[in-house]
Amino acid sequence: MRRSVSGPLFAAWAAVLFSSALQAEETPRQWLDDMNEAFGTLSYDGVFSYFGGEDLASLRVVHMVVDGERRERLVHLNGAPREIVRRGDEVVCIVQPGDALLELEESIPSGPFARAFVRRYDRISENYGLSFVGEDRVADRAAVRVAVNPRDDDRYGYRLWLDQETRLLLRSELIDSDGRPLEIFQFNQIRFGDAVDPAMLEPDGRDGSLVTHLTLASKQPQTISREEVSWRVGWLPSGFSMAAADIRRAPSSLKSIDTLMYSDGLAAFSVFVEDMPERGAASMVSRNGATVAVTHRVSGTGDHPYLVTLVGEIPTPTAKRIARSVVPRGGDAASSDASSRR
Amino acid sequence: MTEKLRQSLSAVIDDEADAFELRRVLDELGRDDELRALWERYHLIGNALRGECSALPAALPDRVWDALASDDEGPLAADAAAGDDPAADLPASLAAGPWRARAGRLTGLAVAASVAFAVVIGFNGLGPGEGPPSVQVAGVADAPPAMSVAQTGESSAQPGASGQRPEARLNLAADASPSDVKRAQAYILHHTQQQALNQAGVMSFVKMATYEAP
Repeated sequence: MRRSVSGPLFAAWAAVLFSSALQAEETPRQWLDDMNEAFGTLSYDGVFSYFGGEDLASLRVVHMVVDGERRERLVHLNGAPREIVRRGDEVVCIVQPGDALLELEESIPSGPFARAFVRRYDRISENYGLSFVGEDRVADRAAVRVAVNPRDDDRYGYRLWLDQETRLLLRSELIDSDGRPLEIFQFNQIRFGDAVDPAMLEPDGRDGSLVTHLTLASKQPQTISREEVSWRVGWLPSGFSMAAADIRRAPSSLKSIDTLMYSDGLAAFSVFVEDMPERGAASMVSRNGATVAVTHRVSGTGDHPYLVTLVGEIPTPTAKRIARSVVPRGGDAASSDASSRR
Repeated sequence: MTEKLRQSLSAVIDDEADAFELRRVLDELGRDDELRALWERYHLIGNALRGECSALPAALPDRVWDALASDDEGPLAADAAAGDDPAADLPASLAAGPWRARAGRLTGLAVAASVAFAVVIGFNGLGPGEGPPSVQVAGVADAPPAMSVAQTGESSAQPGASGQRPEARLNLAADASPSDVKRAQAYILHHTQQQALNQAGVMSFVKMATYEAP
């Protein structure tokens, strides 16, 4: 048969074949990895909406890498002015006096933050199924949709919309087991590359605003070895492992708070154990969006009461089950350690 | 129970009561079993209508933070300790619900609202073989609450005119106090920060920046 395909047409046909071959080769995993990298390396300036359970917020984010250093500025566009500015590992919150964020900052023992929850996409395929689910358009950009489906009921799933060109995350939905969104994040408008003005990385100087530094030390924080932490969770959903352990001391009371952090590569939760406070200390469960907080009383040795607080983005029944399972580590050694730190 | 009182109660529930009415109803609630039963019924109905009996309420930040932001810790703790706060006997659902709007105006109530946490789920729910979650309306501070409402699957404890504490309550270590709420909030923030600082990308600080619902 005579070849009737003309040159350009053939080239186009070949290109189609080639690109679909590429696509077949590229896994959703690869796209997630690219997304992760895009966040940290690209220049972008965009306005996005975030629905976290109760309220819809609008924020602007500006991100650039300047002289090899990550610079980021996040501006709350509604309500009281609040900005978070990041230069490399230094993070600064700029808020108005009376901002509740400040108050809480002071109410918890602070210290360097552990590098605990680095998203480990290499681990997620054990606990989540990843798949492409077609194309869409977000913020006037072509997007590829990726579904992240949990393999059990102990974690939430995601629907992601990634920019076809840059692979930046344009929209995400954190969904419960019925597919209902608990959190939605979505760019309404975004610019990339040269369209981003470096001047936009500078915070607005507002009269009377307060600056608070978050201790995000680049130096490795003194992460306590897990052996020193006197508590452990008796039941962990499959796929979760300890990301960090820490002992903090409340500045006022010098009481120590054991902190355990767990992650399955995507979802994360923290467990805090402290001496039973003299006042209050109700057992309770509370939820906002995907974040659940569970408070539960446990007994250490000699029936000494402790208070366990679990906070995480996991389903409530799972959170309750984990909180209930918190027990002192090992035998007498661990518990005498616990009592000596009272 | 007088008709007047009944009307006041309705007004309170509908968020139409003035400070005087509010106070009066609160006082009476502590004494009048019948009124209390009515009150509880109203609230159960309200909860059911809003679908809150089975679902977990979206609890924390908004309500709590409004109040936390407007009251510093000093008086908040002091009020709770003194126990003479007019709001001290206020069930959380009340503080959380229709009264939210007035929390700013009535000082004591701001405290109550901060304690609100909406409906606190009784810890029966923590046990294995849990039935439907027992919906608890928790009292405030350390003083025993004047009343409580529980709806447990097994016992189907009707909030009785007797005003007795439903069984589910017994499992509660205590009632949600301002310090409880504050502690929980602090931990949530801590967790959020930890995550923020370790995540790549845009999402990292979003939760922090939006933490308070202004």
